[in-house]
Amino acid sequence: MGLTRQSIEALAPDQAALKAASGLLKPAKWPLRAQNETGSLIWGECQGSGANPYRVMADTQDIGSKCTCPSRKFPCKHAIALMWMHVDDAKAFAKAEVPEWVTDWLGRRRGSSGNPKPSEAYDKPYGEKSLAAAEAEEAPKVVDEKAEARKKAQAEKRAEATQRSLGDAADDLEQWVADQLRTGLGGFLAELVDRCRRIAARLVDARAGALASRIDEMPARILALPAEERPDAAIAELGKLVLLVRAWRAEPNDPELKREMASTETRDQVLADAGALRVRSTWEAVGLRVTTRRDGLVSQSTWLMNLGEGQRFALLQDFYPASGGRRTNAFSPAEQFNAELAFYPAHGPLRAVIASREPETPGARPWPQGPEDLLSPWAEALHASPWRLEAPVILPAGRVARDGHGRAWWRADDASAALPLGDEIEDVTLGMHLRHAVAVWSGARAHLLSAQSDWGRISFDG
Amino acid sequence: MADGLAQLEQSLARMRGAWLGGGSAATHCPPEWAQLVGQEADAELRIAALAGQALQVVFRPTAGALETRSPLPRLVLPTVNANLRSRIRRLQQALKAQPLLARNIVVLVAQRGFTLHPADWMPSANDAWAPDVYAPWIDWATKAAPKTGDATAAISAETWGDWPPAARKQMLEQLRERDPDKAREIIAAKAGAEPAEKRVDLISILAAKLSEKDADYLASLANDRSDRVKAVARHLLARLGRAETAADLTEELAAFMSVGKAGILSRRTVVSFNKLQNDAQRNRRWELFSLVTFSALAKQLGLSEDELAEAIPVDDAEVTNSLAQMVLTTAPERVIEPLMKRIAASKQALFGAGAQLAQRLAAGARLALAQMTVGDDEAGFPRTLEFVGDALGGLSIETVKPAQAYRDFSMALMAWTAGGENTTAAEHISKQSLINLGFLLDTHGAEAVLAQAVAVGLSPSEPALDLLHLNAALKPETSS
Repeated sequence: MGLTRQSIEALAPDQAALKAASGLLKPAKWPLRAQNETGSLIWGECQGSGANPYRVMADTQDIGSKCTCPSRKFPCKHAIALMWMHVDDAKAFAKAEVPEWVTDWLGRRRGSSGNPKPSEAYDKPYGEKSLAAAEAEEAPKVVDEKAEARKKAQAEKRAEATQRSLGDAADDLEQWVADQLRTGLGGFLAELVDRCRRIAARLVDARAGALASRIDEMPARILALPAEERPDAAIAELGKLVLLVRAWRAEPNDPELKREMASTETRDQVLADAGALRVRSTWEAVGLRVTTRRDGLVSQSTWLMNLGEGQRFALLQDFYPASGGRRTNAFSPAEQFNAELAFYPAHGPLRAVIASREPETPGARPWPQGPEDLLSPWAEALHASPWRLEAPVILPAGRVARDGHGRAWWRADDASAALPLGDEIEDVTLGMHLRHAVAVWSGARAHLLSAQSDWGRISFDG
Repeated sequence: MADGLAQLEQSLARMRGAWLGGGSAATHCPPEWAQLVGQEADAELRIAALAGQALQVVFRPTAGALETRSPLPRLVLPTVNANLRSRIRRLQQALKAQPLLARNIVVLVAQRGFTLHPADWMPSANDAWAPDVYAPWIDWATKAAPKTGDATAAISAETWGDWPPAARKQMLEQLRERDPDKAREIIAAKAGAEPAEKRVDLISILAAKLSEKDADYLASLANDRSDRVKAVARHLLARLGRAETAADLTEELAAFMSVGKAGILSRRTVVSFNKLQNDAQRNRRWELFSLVTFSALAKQLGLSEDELAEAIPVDDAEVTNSLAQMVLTTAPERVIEPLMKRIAASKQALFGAGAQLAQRLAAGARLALAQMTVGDDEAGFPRTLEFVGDALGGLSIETVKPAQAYRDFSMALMAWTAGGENTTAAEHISKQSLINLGFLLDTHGAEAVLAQAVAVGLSPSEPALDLLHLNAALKPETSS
């Protein structure tokens, strides 16, 4: 039994999922919809509520599906929407070679045994689930002005309380920094993890979640460095914290500072912000990094480089619970696409969401040249936001070499610059000439993201 | 400017020292900073903010002496097309738990005239199995000094040091094929200065085109300081009929056999093995086969080496398997192929002794043997892979189709794609067979199996078809 409206109704976890899927049936929400030659596999990319688009795939024969969204419902609304659109209009799905991420999913599937068999699916009671009902227009809700006003007042009250709490958190943090200096950085470094964890816990209680996460991750950043570099790294980290809380006190409503202190705006808020920087260009995914944080969240970062004019880099960042399992990257290495990005308001914009994306694949464009002083973007980033922890940089032609301790460095061909590298570098990289590279510089280490080499394009983030 | 930086650096060092011990940095900071931060209670925090920014922006990393590696050498064969790389990586991942099959990816790609991308696979110093084309990468991986001097110069005792080890070995192997005496002379002149492991490799080169002219040099190695070198030399001498075996051992082994005549008209010589009384005898006979050389045994039995190869029983798997090691190491080159043909025809010992002795055959002979045996009912694809060795990707679909293993595969494939309750075994057989066929078949054969798999309902994107897709795509026009 193949894919039909009936089978979708049967598979959907509930009517709410069908209703949510019906909201995703607009082609504009799907920059990519494709199928293999026989139509047995369909896949697409849907711009969901995260910064990274969701990759959705389905097998139209056994009705197995997979989506990279964090939903616990299975199938999720994106998978249902993809299958639904295919049933309604298969011709809208372009015939294409099956991409690697779909093949990877096929390879990881435990046969078709994990999917409901069609017979099982039809055995389920699905009378209460209906695509037709999901498609039906809902009557507009009557606005209760009094209730709205009440909600608004409550929100303002909550905001005031949060503001007071954040003020307390700022005071607490400043005192904590002063204590570390007063009692000695030697002791601080010796008890780094415990001390950071304790203040981070207090900051969580004070609703300074973003600040708490930053401090929770501080030990990992410092301890990744050799012992002789840790005091300077600690001074830089503590100094930035001082600058951050003082800047926030001066401008508590500054969006970037609120984000650094407490929480991040939603994608919809960024898109609704008329003042947000928007850049339409050809972008290349130059770095795809997934890391698990101490707080149990998985951070999915996609570094995009603008191959045209304007804002050079963008960072698509999502966080989701580690319990959600491994997620497929939202982009393939070296993937280029035309899109308009909306940047989170910031003194030096970097974090962004995709506002709109064109379905057509642009012709391959070359990488831009970096500035003459390769670390000038870092200096500019700190000038705009002195609390920044890292910034992407473009490296000119160079090689990777090792110092006397076996540590890896990137060095420019003309020996005008050298940067210590923060990640384990495979020996084979030492035999390559990196004509052009993109890295993230933290002030102490460069983390190579990708490079154009004499052996073609190399990705360093797996 | 430089003075200013140096002063700032000194100030920061003093401040760092103060903070590490829990002291105040206020007295150590630059005077301009002191003015800026004032005498407020939070001065220390302000100084920390300034110091942090200075450390991050003002100073640039200084590398000191850096060791750069020589560029990774280009190989004589082109790198596979970039669009095949993700499939190759998936295959490497899928075959990670089966290292011998994972090696076959490298070998198959080389057989088709391509090399892997270095980011996907690099040989290590221990990958002696790697196809010759990777010799420059093995030398690079072991940090051997690259080739010096005239790039076109021939290898000789004088230019020996111009080549790194793996490239030198490759040059010598090629020279041995063209001019066996010259190759031996160079090895004889230079091998003595190499470590034992390298000496073994170099002396093993003499196995090709082995002749009486090599005997004196090989005999001279009887006093080598390495037992492994002595063993290799002894085996090569044995193939020339020159190795000495203790007479009592040869007599003891010969006593396990009888020489007679068979056939009413032709009266051909046959060697039969006497019935064993117990396991102790069986073990002793097995041991003696590893101590006695082929030629010594022939002599003891009153036969020539060729006569012994013709007379050895090949219809008893246990017997044939037990003497395989002796034949493998000490039998002369000329008897291997006829003996293999007898084993293949008898089928009894095909997959014990046969697979072992195939190592002594050249690639073409191995492929021919595989073509001859793959259709045999007993021949499973894994065994055929053993026969083929490195001669992967050369069997035609017409050769393979009559095999029982192929019929089993076809049935399993249909059962798998049809679904049902018990498809696990069918899926397993299908997936294993698809891998084996992917290594065995030529491009046309790979395409045929792909078509068959899709025709019975398998998705063309099914990962189990990855190797066949790779095989089919490895054609000369796919070079990058």
